[in-house]
Amino acid sequence: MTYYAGIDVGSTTSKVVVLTDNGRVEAYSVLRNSYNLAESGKKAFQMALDKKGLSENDIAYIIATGYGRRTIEFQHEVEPEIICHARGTMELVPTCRTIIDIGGQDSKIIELDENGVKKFQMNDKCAAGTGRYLDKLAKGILGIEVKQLGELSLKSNSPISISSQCTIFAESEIINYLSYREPIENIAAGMHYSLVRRVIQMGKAANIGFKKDIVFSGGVAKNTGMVKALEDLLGEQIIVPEDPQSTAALGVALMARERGAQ
Amino acid sequence: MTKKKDWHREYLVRCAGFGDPPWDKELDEMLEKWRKAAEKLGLTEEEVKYAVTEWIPSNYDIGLEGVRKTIGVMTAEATDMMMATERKARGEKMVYGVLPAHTPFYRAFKFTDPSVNVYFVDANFISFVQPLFHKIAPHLDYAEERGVRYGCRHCALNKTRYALLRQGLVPLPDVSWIWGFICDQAPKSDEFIKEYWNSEYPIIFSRWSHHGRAFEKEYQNVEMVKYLASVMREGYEQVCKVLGIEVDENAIVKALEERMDFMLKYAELSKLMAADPPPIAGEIPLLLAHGLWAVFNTGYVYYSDALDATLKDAKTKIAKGEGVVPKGSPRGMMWFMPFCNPFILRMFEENGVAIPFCEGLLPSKAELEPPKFEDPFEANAEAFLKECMITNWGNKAELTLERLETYDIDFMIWGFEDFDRWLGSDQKLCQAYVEKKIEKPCFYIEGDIWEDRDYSEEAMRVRIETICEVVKARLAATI
Repeated sequence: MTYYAGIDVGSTTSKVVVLTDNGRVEAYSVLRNSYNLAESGKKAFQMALDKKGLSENDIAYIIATGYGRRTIEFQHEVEPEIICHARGTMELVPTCRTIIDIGGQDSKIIELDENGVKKFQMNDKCAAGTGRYLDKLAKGILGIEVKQLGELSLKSNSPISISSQCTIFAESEIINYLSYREPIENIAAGMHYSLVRRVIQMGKAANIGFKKDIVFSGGVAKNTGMVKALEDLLGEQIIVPEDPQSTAALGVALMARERGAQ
Repeated sequence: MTKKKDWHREYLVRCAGFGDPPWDKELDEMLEKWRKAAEKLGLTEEEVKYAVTEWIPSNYDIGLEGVRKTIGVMTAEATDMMMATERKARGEKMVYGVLPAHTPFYRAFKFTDPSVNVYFVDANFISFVQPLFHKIAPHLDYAEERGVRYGCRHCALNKTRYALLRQGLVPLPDVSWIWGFICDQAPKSDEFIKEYWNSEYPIIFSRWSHHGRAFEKEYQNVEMVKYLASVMREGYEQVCKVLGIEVDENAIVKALEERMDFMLKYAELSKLMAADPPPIAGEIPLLLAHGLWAVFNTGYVYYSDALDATLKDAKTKIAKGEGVVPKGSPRGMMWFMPFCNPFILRMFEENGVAIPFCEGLLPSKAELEPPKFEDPFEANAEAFLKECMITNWGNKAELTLERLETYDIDFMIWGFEDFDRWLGSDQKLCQAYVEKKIEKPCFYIEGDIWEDRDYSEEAMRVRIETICEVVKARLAATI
C-alpha cells in the first residue's frame, strides 16, 4: 500500500492526515504546538504514523501547509493554507461556497466557486477575531475552560454587548459587567457574538457575500456557541465538518496524493 | 593589507548609476554631496553596506542600467534635498508641495526664477529612504512620539513631512502650497504642524471640491474645469507674491508641455511592460512615474536619462525573450503598487507571477491627448482632472476595465491604502464594480504602500502566495 501525508503546522496546533492511494483517510492526528514548530509538526506526523504502525518510509509524498510549513524538513512541497482549506472543505462539502475558518491565532473567510478559491480575507494585526480572544477571556476573566464556553453561552437569553475591536478592551468591559453581577452565560454569549461580528465585518469588507453552503472550520468551530452566533447573525445554516481542524491537512494530503501519484 | 571599501562610493557606482556614462563624470562631486546627505540622514556606513550588498541586490535587478539610474534619480533628489538647509541659509527660496498637487506649477516657479527650489519633501524622501534603505520607520516613530498618534494611522507622507521639518532635515520653506485630496489629510496635517509645532510654518491651501458624480468625466465639465482653474490661479498668485516673482503664463505653458513630453515617453515604457514576459520589475516604471506626480528640484535631467536607459533595457530584454518571470506566467495589475516595500513584488515574482502595471499611475488615453483649453490654468485644470488618481471612483473602475483589456492583464489587486479610509473605500467600490463586470480574479490586500511596520514580509507572505496559487489555478481552469 502507498500512503500520502498532508501536514498543517498552524499557529496553535499541528494536524496531520495520512491517505491511502485510493483516497481513504488512514490516520489523523492533532497536537498542540510548542514554540518549536518543526518539532511539533514532526511529532504530529509521528503520532499519525504510530496510530497505524507506519514509518516515514511508507509515505510516498508529503506536502506541508500552515504558518510553520517551511519548518518541516521532510516535506516534498509546501502550499499556502487557504488553498488547502478550500481543497479539503470541498472534498467534504462539495456544495460549499463560503468557508469561515477560525483558528487559534487567525481567521479566514474564503469564497469559493466551482473552480476553487475566488477570493479570501484574513484578519490582520489583532487577535480579536480569533480563538485566542475566547481563550484569553474564558481563562483570564471568567475562570472557566474555553471548551465550557459554548455550552454555557447557549443558556443565555440576553447576551451582553461587547465591543469587537480589541481583546484587551473587551476584557475591561467584561470586568465592568461582572461588577454589575451580569450572569456569566450572558457574558459568554456576548463574547461569541462579538467575535462573530468582527469576522463577518472582515469578510464583508472584502466584498465576500457569505453565499451558501457555509462551512465553519478551525478549532473554534467545535464551539457550539460560536455556531449559534454565526447562524443568528448570518441568518443561514452553518455546516461544521466532523473534524473541523482537519480540513487544511486533508486538503494538502489530497494534493500530496495527486502529485505523488504523477 | 587590503584597502577598506568605501561603501558610499560603492553605492553610487554599483546601485545608483554614477558609474555609468555620462553620470560617471559627476561621481566625485556627487560622492562628496552624498556623504554629507547620508550623514544628515543618519545612514551609517554599515547600513549603506547592507543596502549595497544585500537589500538592493535582493530586491532590484541592478545589473540593468535603467534600474541603477532610476535608483540614481531618487538618490540625487534626496541628496539635493538634504542640502536645502544650507541653500536656504544662503537666501535661496523654497516652495514645498504635497501630493496630489499638480506638478507643472512648481516647475513654472523654477522656470520663472531658477533660484527657487521646489520639493515634494515627503514623497521624495520616503520613496528614497524606504525602498532603498528600508529606513522610514524611525522618522514615522519620531512624528508619532510628537503628536501624530499612532492609533489614528494617518498617511506616512504627512508624518514624514512633519518629522523632516521638526528634525531640521529640511528647512522651513518660504511657502508650503498644499492641495486637498479626497482625504484632505495633507491640509489638515499642515494645519496641525503649524498650530502644534511651529506657528511660523507658512501654508497656502488650494482645496477643491471632490464632489464629482461617479462616472462623470470631470475634465469635460467646463464649469468644473473653470472653477478648478480659478482655485489654481488664486493659489499660484499667492505663492508668486510670497516668492516675489511675477505670474509668468509662458512658464506655466512650458512646464505643462515638459510634463506632457515626459508622459508620452513614459507611455512608451507602459506599452513595453505589456510584453510576455514583462521585461523589468513593475516598481521601476512606478519610481520613474514620480516624474509625473512629484516635483524634483533636480528637474528632468537625471529622469530623462534614467527613462531612456530603462526603455533600452526593456527593448533588449524583449528582443531576447527575457523577463522577470517565465513566458506565459500570470500578469497582474495593482491599483497602487507598494513600491516602498519592494519585497512584495519580489514575493509575487518568486511565486511565478508578475505585476508589471500600477494602475493609478498609468497614463490614460485622455491624458495623452493635448489639452482642449487654451488658458494655461484651465489647461492645467483639465490635465489634473484627467489623472487616474484624481478622478471619481466610477471612472477609476472604468479605466481599470479598459486597461485589463488593453494590456491583456490576468488579474487585479486593490489595497495597500489601509492608512486612509477615503482612499480605501474608493478602492473597495472599484473592486465591487469591476468584479461584477469581468470574470478575472480580483483581490483586495490590506496593507500600506509606504511602510511595513504593520505588514511585514512574513505577514504578507500567506496572502501573496495564496493569490499566486489562486491565479494560476483559475487561469489553468479557463484554458
